[in-house]
Amino acid sequence: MATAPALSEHLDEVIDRNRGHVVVDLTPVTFIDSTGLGVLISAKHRCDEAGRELRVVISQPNIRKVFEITGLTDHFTLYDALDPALRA
Amino acid sequence: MVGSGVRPTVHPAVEIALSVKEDLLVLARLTVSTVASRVGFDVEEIDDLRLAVDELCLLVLRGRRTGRLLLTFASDPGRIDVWCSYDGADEPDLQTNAAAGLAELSGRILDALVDEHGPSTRDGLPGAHLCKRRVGSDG
Repeated sequence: MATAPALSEHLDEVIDRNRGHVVVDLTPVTFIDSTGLGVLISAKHRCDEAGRELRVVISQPNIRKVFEITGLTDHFTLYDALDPALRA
Repeated sequence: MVGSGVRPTVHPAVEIALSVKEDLLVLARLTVSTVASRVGFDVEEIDDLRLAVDELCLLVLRGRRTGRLLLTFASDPGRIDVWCSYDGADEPDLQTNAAAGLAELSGRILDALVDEHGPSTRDGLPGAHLCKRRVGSDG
């Protein structure tokens, strides 16, 4: 919850200023809650509307678990590492 | 020491009060980690409880920006109960689609991580409660 506003602001800026796909690297993230997920869902909707893809990199099992139990693994394009997400 | 509605337990209950500030929820997570480790929950279960308590707080807050969250942690070997109440004047955001979506996510997370959860009222304050039992415990 604490970092969600900053993440939201940063994603808005990235989506507004760039035209390619968006990659969110959650590798250093150790905790995420519904507020953080809400920010990612909102960013994905913006990308969808613009015909762009939001790719999410998750390497921590506890972060992946949150996506799994909320049913969001089907909603997002997920990668285990940054390189494949950038190359795809 | 604890308010009404708290189950008598072997260990003394732990109570904390947090101002409604985004970065203070970490204290709720730290507290449940400490309490849960004392009664034998393993690392994965404690991870689950940290997230569950965070979501419990978010469900009680529902966008409120001022006031306090009152948390009570009661534990027995193999079981932990957490009550979270809101003490303040703000009204919850129950109207917007975004708020409803976040509440749904919180509900899904709690469904997956704890044995019981739901609304509760303590000392006249609105709130919510969760209970998690350790894997393999009879309690």
